[in-house]
Amino acid sequence: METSLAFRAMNTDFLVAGVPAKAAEEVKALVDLAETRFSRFSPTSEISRLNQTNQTWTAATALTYDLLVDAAEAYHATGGLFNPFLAEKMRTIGYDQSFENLTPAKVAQGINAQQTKVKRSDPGAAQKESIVDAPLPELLEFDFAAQRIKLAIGAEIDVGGIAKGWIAQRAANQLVASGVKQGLIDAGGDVILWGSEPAQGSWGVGVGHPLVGEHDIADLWLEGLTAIATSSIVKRRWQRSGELPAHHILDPRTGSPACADLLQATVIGRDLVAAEQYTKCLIILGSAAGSRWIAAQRPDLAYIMVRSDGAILHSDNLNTYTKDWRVDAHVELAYDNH
Amino acid sequence: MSKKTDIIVVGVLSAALFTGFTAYSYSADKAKAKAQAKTPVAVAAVAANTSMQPLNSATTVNAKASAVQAPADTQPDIAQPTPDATVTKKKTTKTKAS
Repeated sequence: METSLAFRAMNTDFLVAGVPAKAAEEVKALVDLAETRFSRFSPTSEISRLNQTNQTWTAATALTYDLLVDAAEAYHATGGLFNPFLAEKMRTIGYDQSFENLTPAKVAQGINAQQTKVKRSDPGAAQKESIVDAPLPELLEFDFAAQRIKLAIGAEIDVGGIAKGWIAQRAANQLVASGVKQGLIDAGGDVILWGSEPAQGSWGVGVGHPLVGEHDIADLWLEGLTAIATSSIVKRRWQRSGELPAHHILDPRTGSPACADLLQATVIGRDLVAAEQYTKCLIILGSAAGSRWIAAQRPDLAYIMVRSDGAILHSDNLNTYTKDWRVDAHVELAYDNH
Repeated sequence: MSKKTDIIVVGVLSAALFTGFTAYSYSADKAKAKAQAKTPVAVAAVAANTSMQPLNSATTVNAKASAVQAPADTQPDIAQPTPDATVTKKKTTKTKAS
């Protein structure tokens, strides 16, 4: 008998649907375990302890070790655009505690400030893209035999950009391997699904409006193994007294919050870890450079992007992943100025 | 056949005709009642479809697109989505930033 289980973990809302009750409980147990190990805000988490090991080989649990292997692979696969070693930079710009404890920033003020910054940096856009091809420093070493890791001097791990999708993908992999024929795991808006939806055949997944929670800018009807992730510079914004608003997607080339022309990016693929990391790369690169880059790097991935002027752009391969879909062509953006 | 018998036969035929007519009338009324009951459902379905239309934007529906869709100002002002099964299905969740 299939069930749905909603719960709060890793500072977000999880939903497990279309699986037997026992399988849903297994997913929750795995996510709860991940929460205790991956948070950089908890001084007792495994990630926090590894960040204090100062370039010495340190044993890691299997779960954390596997996560770090995948995070390092993502770092290299994206030419460093996805960078899980920016914990110290995050603290510098003010993301030094759980988001609920930060002062929220007004969306309009932040976006206007970022657009100004984009105009100033436009002449250097080609140069910024070329930085992606620069050799990457090895910031994390692995000892596969002993399941140990060693962090480079100055590197500090922050898996906030990958952990939710990673644990959802891992849970899905486990359920599929144990014979669960269909299911959906939603990790705070990053979704992995497989098989057919029990009642109607295909799974319906909306793509949320970047500003208006109850609206969707697209509907996707899916079946079979599919992963969908969305990132936005509108969520997780904060402001410190006397400073410009900041958000949580850092451009590793500048060490500052990404300031290209995208409000939101959604990526669709077969693997949630890849989908999640490539949404952040698109946000960092912007609509023009991002669409060129992802077509060259991962032409198998599909995407839907919302520009800060309200235009919605999408790749031409949505049919690869969907039975049916609709995408709005543009969206009204009424920023909250109050 | 006696006169009495004739009267009985006529009476039986009249009763049969009356019963048949009544039954026919009942069936017709029932069918009409069914049709009337269905109409609001059909209207409701149309209304549901209408409510699925985006309020403020043109919509692309399951169409082959260029690598990147043109900006909104080159799109038709109002593009009606093709009616299909998707409008009656229920979405399980939504992808969003969190």
